[in-house]
Amino acid sequence: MHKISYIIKREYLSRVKKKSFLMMTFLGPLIMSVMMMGPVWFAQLDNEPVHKVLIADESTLFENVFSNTKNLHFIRMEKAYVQAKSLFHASPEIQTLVHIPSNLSSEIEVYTKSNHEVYYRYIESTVKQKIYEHYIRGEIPINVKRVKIEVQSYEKANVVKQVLSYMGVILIYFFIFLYGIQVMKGVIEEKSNRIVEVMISVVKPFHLMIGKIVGICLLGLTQFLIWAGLSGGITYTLANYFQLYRYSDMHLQDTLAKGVDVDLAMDMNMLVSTLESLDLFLIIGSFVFFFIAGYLLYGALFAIVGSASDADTDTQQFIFPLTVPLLFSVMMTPNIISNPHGVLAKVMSFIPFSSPIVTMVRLPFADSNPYFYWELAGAMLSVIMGFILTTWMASRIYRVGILMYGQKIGYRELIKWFFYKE
Amino acid sequence: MLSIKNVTKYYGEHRALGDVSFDVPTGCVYGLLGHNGAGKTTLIRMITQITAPDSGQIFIDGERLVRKHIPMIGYLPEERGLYKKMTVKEHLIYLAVLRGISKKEALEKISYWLEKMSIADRENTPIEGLSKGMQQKIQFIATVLHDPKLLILDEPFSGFDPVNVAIVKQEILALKKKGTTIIFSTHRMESVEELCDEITIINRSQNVLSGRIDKIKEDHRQAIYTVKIKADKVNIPFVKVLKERKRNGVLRLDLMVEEGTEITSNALLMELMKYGEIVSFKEKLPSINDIFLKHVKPELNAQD
Repeated sequence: MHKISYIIKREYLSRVKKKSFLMMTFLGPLIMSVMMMGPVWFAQLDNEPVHKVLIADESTLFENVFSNTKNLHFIRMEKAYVQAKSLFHASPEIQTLVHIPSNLSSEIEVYTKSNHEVYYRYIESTVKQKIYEHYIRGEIPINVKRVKIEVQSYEKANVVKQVLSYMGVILIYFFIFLYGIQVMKGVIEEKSNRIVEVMISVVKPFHLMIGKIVGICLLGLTQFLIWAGLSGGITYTLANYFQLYRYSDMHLQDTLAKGVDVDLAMDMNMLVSTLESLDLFLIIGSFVFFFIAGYLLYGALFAIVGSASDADTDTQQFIFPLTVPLLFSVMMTPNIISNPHGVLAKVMSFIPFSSPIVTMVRLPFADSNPYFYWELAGAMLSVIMGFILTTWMASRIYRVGILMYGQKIGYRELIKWFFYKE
Repeated sequence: MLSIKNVTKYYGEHRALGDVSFDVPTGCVYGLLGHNGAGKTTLIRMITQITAPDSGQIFIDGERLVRKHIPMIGYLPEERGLYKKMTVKEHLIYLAVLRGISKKEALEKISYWLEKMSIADRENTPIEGLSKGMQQKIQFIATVLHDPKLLILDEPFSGFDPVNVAIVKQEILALKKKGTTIIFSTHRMESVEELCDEITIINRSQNVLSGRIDKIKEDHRQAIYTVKIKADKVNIPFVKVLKERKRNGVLRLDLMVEEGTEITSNALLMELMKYGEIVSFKEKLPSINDIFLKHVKPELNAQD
């Protein structure tokens, strides 16, 4: 144990002092925020087309509530809901139907043909906002907080959750891949330096491999913690600066009463209330878990690649199959967001190779699946078993591979080495 | 010190070592000779426990070789290197601590050895900033820093410049004097006679010859004598003249007593004295190189 921890220490310290690590650690959050703000900024440049919204107001309470906005034209019908519905289905130009039941006996329902989540969110917040405005003026005799809006055609998508999903995916992919590559490069370096034979005459090959993998893992965690600390600090500062607490559910009514821009207030409320509703500790804790477990799983495979290569150029044939499950999971992200508890999502979170990414996508949507925590536990178990398996495989191939020089290595050799006796 | 008993190792179908046995006595320099690919490195990797024999055993000081013996061994592999980014001191401490020495003790030994190899001023230089010769010195220091009882050097002089070869040879002999047992593996014979007390020749994964160098030479003597004599011609029955050269009235001869003839050197000398005045008379023993070639030659075509 003493030897392993000493190896870990060297692997860690020799990398943490590198300029490239410091650069990446402190520039990373900046690059990330630019990456995240970029699409938002572009989206704002877009000229949204005009959408027609049919209001089936059986309560007749909302007579003058829905005035047209720049993008939304409202058509109000006090007829029976059934008629409005058939009109909605018959007219392609009508995108959305809002059903307000008489006496507000049940929830206000919104049906939309669009499956564009940004558009849906916009409709939802506009409808909500119109209702709020009139409530504040005392024109609607109900408590706004009791109005619930239920969307039928689209899973209750939420941009904040989606952003969190994508952030989780990008971070996990980035960490697993970059740090996995570092393991591979470290192994190749030891091999091409010819230090490896000296090392394994002193320590077991397995200890050398594990020392390297764990040392680099700690490096990744260091980077993540600095990132999380920096981003948390920046977010906290900004949140205080903009007094975001004003838009929480608790303070929203007071804030609206003070005459803030309602559009902005509603947007901010969604952001703040979503963040409040999320179990951030669960998400961050799970991220750390899936980073470590996923990295260990792939790190062991990258160690195999390193041990079978004399130089970086030999590695392509082996790296490609390693990246396939990671890339496939990243590509599936939109599908999983649209149906975070569907069959695809469930199956992929039980496969150790895709689980780290897919589970990160699903985490922000945990509240809409009562069995999610069981599935999370299952996903964690599968990744743990996965890395035990890959580490075992790696230890058998690595010990032979590191002493092989100047050969062209193919999969056949890897299998042969696996079965070599000690 | 070290006892190799019937060691066999296969890599897949390929036999790397077949039933090899020999003993290395304490405090000697033991030569392990063989062509590239003969199985020397495989054997060394078993002594250093990088790999294990398929069958057969290795004993060290009478005990079955296990991992607790690793700190007793110092190993300089043929393929050797250093962590280029670490400083000389960091690198030496790292390996020493992994071998179970305390950091404090390591530091003392490091300054002793750096001083001895006259590179003390470089202890904080990153290894990539050292000349190749200095790096070789560091490799040697890293191997002996923990005072191993058994030192294994695999082709220690390959790539060394002549100055370092001389320094390392001197250190090898100094360590031997201190009681260190040294296994010296090579396919080049030049240094063997100079350094080794005993040898084993491995050819095509098998032990073809083991023993003390003087004994082996004795066994391989071919009754060849080098003679300088003031004479014009020498003609003795049962004695073949292999080489004949005349300079300033002195005849230089290489004589071989024909097989099947028992003749002592005294008797031969008496015969020679009849022809003229003897200037010098010496039995010519075969060199290790001759012996090596004799034992591996029949197989030479199968190599490489």
